[in-house]
Amino acid sequence: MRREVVYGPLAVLVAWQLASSSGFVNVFFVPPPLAVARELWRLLVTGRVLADVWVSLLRVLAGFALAALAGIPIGLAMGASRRVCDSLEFLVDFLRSIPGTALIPLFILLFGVGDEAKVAIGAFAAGLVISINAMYGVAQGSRTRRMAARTMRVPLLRRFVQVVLPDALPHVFVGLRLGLSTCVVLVIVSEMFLGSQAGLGHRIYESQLLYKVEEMYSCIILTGVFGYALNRVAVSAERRIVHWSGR
Amino acid sequence: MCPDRAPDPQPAAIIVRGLAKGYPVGGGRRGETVTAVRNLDLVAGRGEFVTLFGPNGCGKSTILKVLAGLEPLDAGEVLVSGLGPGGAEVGFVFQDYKESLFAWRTALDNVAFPLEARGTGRRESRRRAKEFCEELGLRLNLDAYPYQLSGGQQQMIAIARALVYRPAVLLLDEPFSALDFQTNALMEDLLLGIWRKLETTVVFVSHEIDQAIYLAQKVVLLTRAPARVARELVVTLDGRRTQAVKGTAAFVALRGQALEVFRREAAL
Repeated sequence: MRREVVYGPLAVLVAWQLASSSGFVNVFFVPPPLAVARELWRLLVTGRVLADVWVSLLRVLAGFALAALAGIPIGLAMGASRRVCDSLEFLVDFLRSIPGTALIPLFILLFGVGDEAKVAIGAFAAGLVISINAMYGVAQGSRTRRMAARTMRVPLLRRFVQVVLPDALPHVFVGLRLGLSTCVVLVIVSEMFLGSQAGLGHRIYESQLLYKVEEMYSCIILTGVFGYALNRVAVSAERRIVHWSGR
Repeated sequence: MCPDRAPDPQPAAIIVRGLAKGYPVGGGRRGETVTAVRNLDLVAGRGEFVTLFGPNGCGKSTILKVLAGLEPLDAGEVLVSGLGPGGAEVGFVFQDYKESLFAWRTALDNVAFPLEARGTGRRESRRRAKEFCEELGLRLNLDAYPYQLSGGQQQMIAIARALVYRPAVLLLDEPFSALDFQTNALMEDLLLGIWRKLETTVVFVSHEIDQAIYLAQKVVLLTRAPARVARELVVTLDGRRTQAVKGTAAFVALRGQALEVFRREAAL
């Protein structure tokens, strides 16, 4: 890794420190970075916040798994069949245009305020992203490769499974990566506003209500780390599994 | 009662009579079509190497696709190994190797794929694919993925993949046009070697007149679209061909003849 990668974050830290030590902003609302770091460390060693990370992780993974299980087959079917695509494309595009957070009240009505609602919202929004990308994967697969398989007399079903599907895989993985990020956003947001007992979103919101400002900052940073780590996992899985993509 | 018919001792591998083929234009809504091929006749004897040469966009690729059964024909008759289009097994090599190879399979697994698709087990397919690549004299890392190979090596794999199931006919659509000059010469000689070894009938579309003459026993010169045969040029170059033949008087004379036909038939 090059040395330059620390410049940006360092600049932000310096600006933050200056802002809070110059008295330019209220120290109560913008505590200095070191105080936040100390609080973050305390939260981590006491293990209190780890339970929240765990709960959020389970919700995200559950929502993501459901989204993938439903979204991939639907998207593949849309890409493979003109009729399926024509019947569903508008619906998917329309639902995708509604911000997932706008559906929180609806999901409360449908699923209550427990884990189910939070998982369902994440799954719903991520599923749309995943299905659209899977559709593009099939629709934009190489025509030449399909023709090549035809000249080799590969039967239709085998052609789909062994040529069209792997050809769509890079797009499917793009969808999975974007879907995972979407799922993180919606799970965290719904943890804030949807009667939770635990979870990173819940912790952020609660510490703000209680004016535990340093804890709030710590949890926001931790949520950033959480999302970043999940994305890194997705990226490295993508690179390993669809290693031929874009090369 | 079937009428007695003496089997043709040496039936031509490819017979095309009066082929016509058009494409719908403007989305095909108003039934308008553009004619790509009109009244084309073509014969390739068994084991013959035929090249098709003509102006850009004259419908050369269309002819190959009809022969392979990838495109339906509008009129005329097409027989490949005595069967209608799509009936006989053919090998097909596309211009764009990057788009035609299976990027997710290693070189060896690409060559093994047609065998697997025919129901041969994976291990046996790989073994036979490997043997076949050795037989063709391909010197490259068969465990590499296509993106790890050079353009020429990728097209070699595509050729091996198109031949591994031993089709009687091999069709190639400008297969070397994306490769550099030196690799072209290498690939030409490799293909000639393969052709001599396997005795496959080859139809090779080229937009390089030197290449068309160098490879062929017969060069078919096509008119601008809609394509017809302008002239057939039988190539009689003595002995084993090496790249040096491209400089000989006989070669240059053939080239002159071809270009004259080309000037007449391709001029707009």
